[in-house]
Amino acid sequence: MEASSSLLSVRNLTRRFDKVLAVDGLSFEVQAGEILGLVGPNGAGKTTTLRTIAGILPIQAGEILVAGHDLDAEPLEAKSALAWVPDDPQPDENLSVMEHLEFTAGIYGVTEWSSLATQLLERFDLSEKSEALGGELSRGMRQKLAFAQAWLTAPQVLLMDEPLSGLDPLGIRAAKEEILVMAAKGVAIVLSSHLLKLIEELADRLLIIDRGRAVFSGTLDEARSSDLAQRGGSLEEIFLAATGRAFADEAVKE
Amino acid sequence: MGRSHDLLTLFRLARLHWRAAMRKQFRRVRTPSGCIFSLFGTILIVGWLGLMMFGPGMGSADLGPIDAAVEGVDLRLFYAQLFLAAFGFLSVMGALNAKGLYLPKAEVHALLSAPISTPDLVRYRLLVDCGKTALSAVVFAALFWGRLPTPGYGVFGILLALFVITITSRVISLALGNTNLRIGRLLRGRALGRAGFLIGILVWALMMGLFVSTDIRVELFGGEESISERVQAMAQHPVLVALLLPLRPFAELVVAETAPEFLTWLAVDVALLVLVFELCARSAGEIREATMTTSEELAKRIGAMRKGQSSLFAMGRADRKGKRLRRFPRVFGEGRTGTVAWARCVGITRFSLTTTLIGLVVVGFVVMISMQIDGGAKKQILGSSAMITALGTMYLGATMRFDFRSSLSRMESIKSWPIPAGRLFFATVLPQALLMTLLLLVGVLVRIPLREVFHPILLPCLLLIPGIVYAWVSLDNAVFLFFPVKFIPGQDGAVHHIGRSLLLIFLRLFLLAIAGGAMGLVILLLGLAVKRFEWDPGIVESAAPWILFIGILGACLLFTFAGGVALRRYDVSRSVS
Repeated sequence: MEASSSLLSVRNLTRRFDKVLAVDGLSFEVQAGEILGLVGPNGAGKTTTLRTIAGILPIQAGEILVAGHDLDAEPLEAKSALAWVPDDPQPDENLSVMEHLEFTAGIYGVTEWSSLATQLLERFDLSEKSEALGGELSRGMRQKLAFAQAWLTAPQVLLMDEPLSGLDPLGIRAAKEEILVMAAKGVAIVLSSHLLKLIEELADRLLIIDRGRAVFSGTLDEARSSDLAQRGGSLEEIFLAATGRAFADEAVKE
Repeated sequence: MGRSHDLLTLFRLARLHWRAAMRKQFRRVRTPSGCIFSLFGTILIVGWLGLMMFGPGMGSADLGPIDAAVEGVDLRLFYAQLFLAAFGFLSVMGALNAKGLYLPKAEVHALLSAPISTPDLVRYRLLVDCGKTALSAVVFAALFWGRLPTPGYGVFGILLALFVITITSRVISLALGNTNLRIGRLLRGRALGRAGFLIGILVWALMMGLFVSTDIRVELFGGEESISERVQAMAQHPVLVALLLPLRPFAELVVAETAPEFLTWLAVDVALLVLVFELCARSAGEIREATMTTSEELAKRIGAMRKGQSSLFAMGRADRKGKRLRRFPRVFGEGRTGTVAWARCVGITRFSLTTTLIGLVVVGFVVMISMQIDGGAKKQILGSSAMITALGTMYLGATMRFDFRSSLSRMESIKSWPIPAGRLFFATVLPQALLMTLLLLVGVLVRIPLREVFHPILLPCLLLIPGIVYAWVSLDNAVFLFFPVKFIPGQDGAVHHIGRSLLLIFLRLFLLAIAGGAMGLVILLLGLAVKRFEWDPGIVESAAPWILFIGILGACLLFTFAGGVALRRYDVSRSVS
């Protein structure tokens, strides 16, 4: 691992789909206990970036270090240190909720998993659904199960893509609290969402990307004191200014 | 909104669907691979239809008894009625599983909430259904082309008959789904559907039995009396005559020979079609609840098929609902590979009833085919065992999909697991291979009491089966991961997908032939060496099973390695539709 306490390091990441450049030389780092808010318009390359870090898409160019392990050279070690909560979790339709946790424990080599699994089911309000099959779960329940699976592996790096989709207000509150607890334990978290309020509420640092490139990187305070905040201090205004949408917005109003 | 306006809007919707399907079809042809796949698909479909219409043995000359009226019984008419009855039976069985009206997922909420009357909605769906039935009619017309007295007339007969049968089965669906009718309320639940499914399986098994086994035919028809003599007797049976009577006007059109005959029956049949169509549309009552349920259920089944599972497995899932879950022991160990294999086994046991049923039907069918090989000599035993293994492996592999073919929607999650790709591939494929092996062993062994024959050569044969099955399943999965595709029969791009499937089957067989050829080459070289150096000729015979064993093992390792590479290369962002 490097001298800094960065648990996730992305350097010059580039990803191309045929003629489309989805991620263009993206670099950023996430420190232990830090929550990085990843925002950008549709098609900016957020999900592609997260999928590449999670080892789902191969690295075409660039370097990714997860807890000091090069994802390309040591994929198993890097993946073991990482948990991934996708935007639309697809659990195994044939396994029960509890069996999903048993399965995750087996895959990630978690030995004493049973009592922790029971606790997680309670924390994510899934206790009554422990015998329900994956195929019988609602959208929100699937999301909660994905949280519980990620939490069970005690990751060092946590990647979350639109984690609050489908959750009810109670679930949203519980999820937000759990994310903060994870960060307090020293987990490096990347949180991608279109819910700017959520990013404002949870993120320590902000990374705005557009067309695969970083257009802003820094803390929220830095964003508020930058040129981007000329039209107002809200994250929405900053986002619109950073991605060049503010001008189009004004033109429409005029 | 006026009635004519409602219908016009619905027709416009149908036209938009048709245009969208055509547009998608043409888009596929734009790429070189799409062009090649579509070309192969077209050649296959046209070739198949052409073979049915004009191929050897399809002429009416081969169907002597059908062409003539024997003892006052027009057997052509009887056969036509029987065929229509069989289609009607299947159609009604399908109707029992779809109460109310089926509307596609994208339409159900929009159309039920739109200001459209129920009869118009029914008319719209009937027209769409008839359009789909017309495709079946084309296939049947091609199948019977050489057997029809005047094919040009007969085609109209088949088309009109299938339309009326389709609409009639919709009448049953609508009646069962009508919550205001007692029958609709009484026949809730799945009992009817299950009964229909079981009856269908039994009828299918019986037909297959009659087709493949002389013993069963003799047992059922008795003595040495020929089938045609029995059929003549059946055609005159009053109960059967009465049962088939409603189909007679259509059968008459199918076998019409002269223009006056054709025109007369055409007028009668068109009148009947219009009558049944309007009766169906006007008799639809309160069907919204059943329509929602049926549409959602079918959407789920289609969704399951899109994930690579068969619709039967989707039915199995519905059957399991509410029952206590069975626990599967960790027989493959607590490690990462063992965990993946365990999860697959859990999936298999959750559908044990459906799985067993499908497996038994497939194996039963294959065993019946193998019964044609008589005798207990070494050659016959080897031949029948090889036939059961080869056919069973291919059929079971196509119907049971507890491997990567059922996991396309979960590939994102699968690829994030910290397991080496080769081991993950092995663990995923192994349970399916074990299940198929078990069923095939039953198939091979069940011949012993049935034929009352046994030969010691059977034992080494049994040892080769697991390897052969694993090699096929792993090859199947490796090819699938290199060229993944989600396809449901009948969806847009059918021609393209048929061509693609055909090429992929060729690829699998080619790779298998290379593996088999390599083993054959080694045996051949050994044989030449025996001849050249004048060794004991028995060496070849005793070494051959070992060469096969080592060769199959090598193929298993090679295909597993290829599967691992394919899994690593798999791109979750690519389109697989």
